[in-house]
Amino acid sequence: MRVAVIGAGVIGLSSALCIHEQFHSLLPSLELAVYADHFTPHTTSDGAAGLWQPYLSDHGNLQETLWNKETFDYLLRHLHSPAAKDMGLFLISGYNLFTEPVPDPSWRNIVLGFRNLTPKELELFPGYSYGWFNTALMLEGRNYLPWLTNRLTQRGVKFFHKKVESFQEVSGGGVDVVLNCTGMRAGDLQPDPELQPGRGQVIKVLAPWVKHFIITHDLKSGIYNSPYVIPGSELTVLGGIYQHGNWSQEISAKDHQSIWDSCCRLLPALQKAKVVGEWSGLRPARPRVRLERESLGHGQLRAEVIHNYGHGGFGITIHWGCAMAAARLFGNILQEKRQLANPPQPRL
Amino acid sequence: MASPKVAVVGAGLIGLSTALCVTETCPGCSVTVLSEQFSPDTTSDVAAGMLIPHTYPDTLIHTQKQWFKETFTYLFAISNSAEASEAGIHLISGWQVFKSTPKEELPFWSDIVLGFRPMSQAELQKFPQHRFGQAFTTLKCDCPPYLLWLEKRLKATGAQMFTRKVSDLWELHSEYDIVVNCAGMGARQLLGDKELFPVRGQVLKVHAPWVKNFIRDGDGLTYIYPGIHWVTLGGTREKESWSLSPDPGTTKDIFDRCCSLEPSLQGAQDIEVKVGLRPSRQCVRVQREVLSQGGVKLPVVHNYGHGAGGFSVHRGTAKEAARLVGECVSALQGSSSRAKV
Repeated sequence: MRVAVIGAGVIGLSSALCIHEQFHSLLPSLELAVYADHFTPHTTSDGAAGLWQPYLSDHGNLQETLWNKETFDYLLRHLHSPAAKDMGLFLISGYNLFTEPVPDPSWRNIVLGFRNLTPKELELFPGYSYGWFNTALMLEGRNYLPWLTNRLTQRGVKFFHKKVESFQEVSGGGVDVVLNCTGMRAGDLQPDPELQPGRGQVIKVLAPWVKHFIITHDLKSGIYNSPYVIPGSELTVLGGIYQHGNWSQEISAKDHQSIWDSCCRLLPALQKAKVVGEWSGLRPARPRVRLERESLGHGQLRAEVIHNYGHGGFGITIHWGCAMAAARLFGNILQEKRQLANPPQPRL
Repeated sequence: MASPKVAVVGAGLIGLSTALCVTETCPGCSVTVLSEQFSPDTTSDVAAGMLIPHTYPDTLIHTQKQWFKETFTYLFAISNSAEASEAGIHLISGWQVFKSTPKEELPFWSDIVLGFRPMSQAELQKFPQHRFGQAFTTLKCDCPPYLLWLEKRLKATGAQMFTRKVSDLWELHSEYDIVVNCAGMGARQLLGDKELFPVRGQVLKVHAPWVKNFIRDGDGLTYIYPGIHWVTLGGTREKESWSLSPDPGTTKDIFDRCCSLEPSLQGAQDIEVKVGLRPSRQCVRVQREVLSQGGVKLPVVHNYGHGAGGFSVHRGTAKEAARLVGECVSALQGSSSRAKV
């Protein structure tokens, strides 16, 4: 049973690991290979700060809320394991700020210690009159992706550095299942008008005195278009850009200024922070995550594809729930293949 | 009296903050700080600098609360300014956990720190050996940065600082009009105050930048306090122990206790061990006194004995001491104008 995974961001690597963990002992012939043109530290997942936090509203998409919860619970279970540090996994507390009261989010009971902000706390953030405090998790891509890669390598999973131009390219030659974890570039393999870039830009600074994440929200301008500050284990990420439909990955000086000014206004203590880097990336935005099967091709070139892309700005937040869902779909494929190989015998 | 000359003995947290308050409340005074040690060699440099008050048995709770509130308010404003990183002041959230529910579930300072509330069951799951906990956000003063920032502010006022061992407060009577005694543990030898006793504390400073929350066991013995560049792991409370040498057995014990609260500390690097003697007393001595010998008087203001709670109340006691210095100045000016008549 040969499986090709296209994409080596958090979605590709975690889906590969989840499938291998669940099925390798049942299926000794299982062979996994990962194909990607970018590996860590050059994937979209590496640019993200790594904070576990879904969007404010799940738009009635309960499935995604469940996947978020599964991911949080899975990570929380690993918090005390010796692997946590290597995974880039740690607890972090912080603030979500609003200019008006808002309903509690779908994830209020998933995170730890969720509560509203007190008036004294709001004094810290002039211009904001309402907010939340909670403890969540950080999962830093620049540690997590290498950790996933190591786990996969230990399991004998092969990696190929190539840009895959079509599903057929990998599905020929005995590959039974293709996992499409191509994120922003899924449209290159199969047009998908629902998949659009949500361009982001971040400034990386040295500000180790900042111990909380601070995410502001401007309900009129939409998610991530309001300043945010997210401290990592070594660097602090300043952001607040979300440009729907913008494919540019160039650093914009205008966006830089906007991020810097708004974050320093939010947190005056940042004024003395040293800028050490800048990055621009494209969130693979979609009205809902595409996580489903598709049969492509006929006869010899037939392959089962499991799509797992379109995680927008919450890929890290939702990744493990999606990996497990992809593994379930893989299980269904196996089940069907066995039934085809061993059709139920009629009783005499 | 033209410009009263004030000598502040001690350049730890209390000496520097008191000297600064004196320059603020008595702008006419000239202030000189005299100390055997300066940062990074003071007791204050060893402490984590967390704003979590220690309760003094013989100081009125109302007073302790007032001191803490003044200190918290003062530092809160700095933490939210462009000076925060230079001053080493930052907000930090975390948990105080108890193996058994404490008698007093609401400490006197619970409404001064931010967001104080009991921990949820889900939060307590992180601490399987503990049954009860409190979550809150408070402030931390990193040293040396905070002390160096105080020194810088002092220099800007024109105050001077000298390395000098003062063996007897009286030796200053000819050079200074008022002496402020912020000698911390040194007050034991300086004054012979037997009510002042050391409580030895050993701590580890480690590099573990992924630890963003503080964790403190309610017994006060085990704690994890993340600072700007390192995390302070503690600790010990050894009454009447004067040894400033790190004890290797204690180091291992502290590390083990902290790892059981926060397992990821196993990966911590660059462990540095430090020891400090908390200058402990049943009550903080903030008090005026007049020393006299052969008809010559020397007004003294004491501000020492802060024990385990120096950072939490330092600004409050500094302001109180500065107020007392103001009273000394008035008394001196009163007697000098009487002398003129």
